[in-house]
Amino acid sequence: MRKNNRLFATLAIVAGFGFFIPKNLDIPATATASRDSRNLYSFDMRPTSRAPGARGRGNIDLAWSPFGLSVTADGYLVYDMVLQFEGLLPANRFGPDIGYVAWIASPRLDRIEKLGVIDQSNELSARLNSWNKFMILVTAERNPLEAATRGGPVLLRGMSPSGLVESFQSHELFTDVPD
Amino acid sequence: MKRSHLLLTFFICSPTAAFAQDTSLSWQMPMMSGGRMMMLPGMRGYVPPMEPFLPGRNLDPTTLPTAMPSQVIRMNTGDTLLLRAGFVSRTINGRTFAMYGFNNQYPGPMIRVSQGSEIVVDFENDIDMPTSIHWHGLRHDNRYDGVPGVTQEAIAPGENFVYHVRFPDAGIYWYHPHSREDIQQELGLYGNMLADSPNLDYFNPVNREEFLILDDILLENGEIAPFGKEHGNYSLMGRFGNVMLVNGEPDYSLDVAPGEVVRFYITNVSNARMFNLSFGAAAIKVVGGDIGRFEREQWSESVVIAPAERYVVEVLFDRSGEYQLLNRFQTIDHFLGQFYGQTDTLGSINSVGETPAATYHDSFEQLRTNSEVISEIDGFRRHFSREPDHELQLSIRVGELPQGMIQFMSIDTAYYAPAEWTNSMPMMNWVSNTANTEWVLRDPATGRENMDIGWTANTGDVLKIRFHNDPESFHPMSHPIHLHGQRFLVVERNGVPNPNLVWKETVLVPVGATVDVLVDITNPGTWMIHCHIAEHLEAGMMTSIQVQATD
Repeated sequence: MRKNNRLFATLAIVAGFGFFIPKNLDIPATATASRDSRNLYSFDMRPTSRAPGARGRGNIDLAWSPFGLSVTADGYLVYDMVLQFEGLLPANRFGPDIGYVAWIASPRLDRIEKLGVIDQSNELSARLNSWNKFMILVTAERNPLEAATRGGPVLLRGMSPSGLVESFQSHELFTDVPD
Repeated sequence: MKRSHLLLTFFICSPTAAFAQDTSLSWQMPMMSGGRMMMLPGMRGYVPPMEPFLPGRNLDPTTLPTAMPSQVIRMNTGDTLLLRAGFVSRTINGRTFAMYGFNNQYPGPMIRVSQGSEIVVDFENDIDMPTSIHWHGLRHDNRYDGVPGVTQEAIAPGENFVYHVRFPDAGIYWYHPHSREDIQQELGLYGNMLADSPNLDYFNPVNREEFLILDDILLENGEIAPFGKEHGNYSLMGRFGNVMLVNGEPDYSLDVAPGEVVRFYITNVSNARMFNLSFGAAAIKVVGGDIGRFEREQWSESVVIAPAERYVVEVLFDRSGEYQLLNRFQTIDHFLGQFYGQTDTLGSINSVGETPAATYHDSFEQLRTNSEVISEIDGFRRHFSREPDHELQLSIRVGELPQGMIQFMSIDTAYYAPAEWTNSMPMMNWVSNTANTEWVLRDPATGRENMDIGWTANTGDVLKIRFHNDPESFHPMSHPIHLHGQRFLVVERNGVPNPNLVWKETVLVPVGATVDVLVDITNPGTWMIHCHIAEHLEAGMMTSIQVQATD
C-alpha cells in the first residue's frame, strides 16, 4: 500500500506539472546503470517521461570523524553525498529563467529540502546528517536560485539504498500464525 | 493449509530443533525489543541447542564479598599487583547477583603508571572457568599477551600466572579475559589501565579526570540471562544487553562544579554494543584515541565508540544544572521496515556549587595541533597510498539455523545498515550459536580462512592491511577488528583518506566498507587479529600474524 502511495504521489507530481516541459523533447534513450547487489553506498536516479534521456547516480560515503564513523548526537549517520547527472538538456532550452534543482525528500514526501541548483558541472555535493531513508528528486524550476519549495516537474528521481528496507507486516510469514 | 502453517509444522518437526529440558536453569525466550520485532512463526518454543549455563547460579550472593567500585592503583616499574578474579556480589537495579570481579571491584582496579613502566601482575584464577588476562592495546612481550592456545595455556581454576606488563606508549588501555569472553566480560571481568606521558603538557589542563567504562548486561525476568555452556550463543549479532552500565552502575552520576573542564577516558567493554555518547548539549573536544593523541584536536557533539575502542575527550560544563549522559542511535524495525530513534539514559553529570578557582575556559576553546604526533606519523606517509600487502574479507557462514530464520533473513537482505547499534533481531540472534554460525576472516590471495591464514612479518616492516566487510554475505555486520601487540593508523576508508590520524589497534569496519590500516610492526611474536564482538570471536572470527625479530 505504501508503495502505491509513493507511486501515486510521484505520478501526481509529474502529471501536475506536465505543462511545464515540452512533450516532444528529442532526448535519446540511454540505459541506466543497474544497482549492484547490496550496494550500500550508491544509488541510481531514473528519469521520468519528461526527461527520458537523463540519468543520475548518487554516491554516499560515510563522513569521517575522529571516531571513524560520523554520527550526530541524535544518532543519524552522517554521509557525504555526491550526485552526478548525465543527459539533462540545457535548462535554458526551456526558458531563460529555468534551472534544475535537486531536492531530498522522505519516501512519504512529507519532508522535502532543497539540496541546490545543478550547474554546468552536472554534479552536486551535500552533507546529510538527518536522513535515514530518502529520495532524491530533480525538478525544473523557475528562478532556481530563489526557489525555496519544489514546484516544477520531476525529471529524475532516486531512492537511497536504505529505501530497500521493506515492511514485513503483511508478509505471509507473519500472518495467521498461532503463537 | 496456508504456506505459513506448513512452515510452522516443518519447524516443529525439524531435526535441528531443540527444546528446553526440564532443568532448574532453562532458556527463556528473549524479549522482543519494545515489541517492535514480531516473533517469527515456528520460533516460539525454540531454544538454543545447548545447555544453559550461568556461573555462580548455585551460590548465595549474600555469602559473597560485596563488590566495591573500582580503585585507582598507581604503580611504578617493578611493583607487583596481586590480581584475583573471583565471585562477588553485585546489585543492579535492586537485584543482587553472583558475578565476577577483579579484587572484589567493579570494574577491576584502574592501573595507573608512567609511560615506559613495567609492572608485575600475579594473577590468581578463583572463578569456576579457565581464564587468562589480555592486556589490550599494549605493545609488550608476546608471552604475556594472555591468549590461551597461542601465548599460554589457559589458567585453570585455582591456579595462577605471573604477567610482566610493559607500557611503551602513553595511552588508555584495558585488561580482560581472553577465554570465553562472552561470559567472563559480561559478568564483570574488565578494568582500565592508563599510561601517563612524562610530558606534563601532553593533554590540556583540566579540573579533573574521570574514567567511563561503558558496558551493558542482559537481564531477563530479573535474572542474568544464561549463556551457552558448551559453546556461545548470540553468534549472529553478539550479546547485546538491555541494561546499560557506566563503571558497572546502571545510574552513573557525577557531580562537577559549574565551569569545570573534565577529561574523560572512555572505554567500551561491552560484548557487542556500539555507543553514541553525548553529554547533554555540552561541546566535546576529542583529544586522544586508543594509543595517544590525535594529530589535531576536534570538536564533536557525541562520541562514537565500538567494542574495545577507547577515546579521550574533554568536556566543559559551563552552566549549572544536569547534563544527561545519553546513548542515542537510529536503528531498523525489520518488521515495519522503518528506522526509529532510540535513547538510552546512562546517567547524569550534575553541575552544582561554586565555580572553581582554576578555570580552563581559554585552553578549552583552543584546538591544539599536536606537531609531535604529526612528525612521527610523517615517517609513515609514504606508505599511505601504496597497494595493500594483505587483505582480509569479513564474512559469515551459517549452518543449520531454524528455517524461519533462513526464510526471513533470505528476504530481509536488500539493505544492511553500515553499523549495528542494538539487537534488532533478538530471537534469531539468541538461537544462533557457534555450532551453526561461523564468522570468517578470509585472505582472498590464498583462500585461507581464520587460523589457517598464516601471515608472517618481520619487525621493522610496515604492513598495509585492507579489511573488506563483504556486504554480500548472509548476514553482514559491522566488526571492530583488533590487532594484538602492534599499533596501526587507519589511513583510508572506501578510498577516502582519513584527515586526522591517531595510533590505534582496534578499528570499526562498517558493512560494505573497505578500511585500510598501516601497521607498524615492532613487536616479535604471534599476535591475534580478531573481531572484538565477543560472540564473533567465539564463532571463529580470528587469525594471527607471526612476527620474527630482526636485528
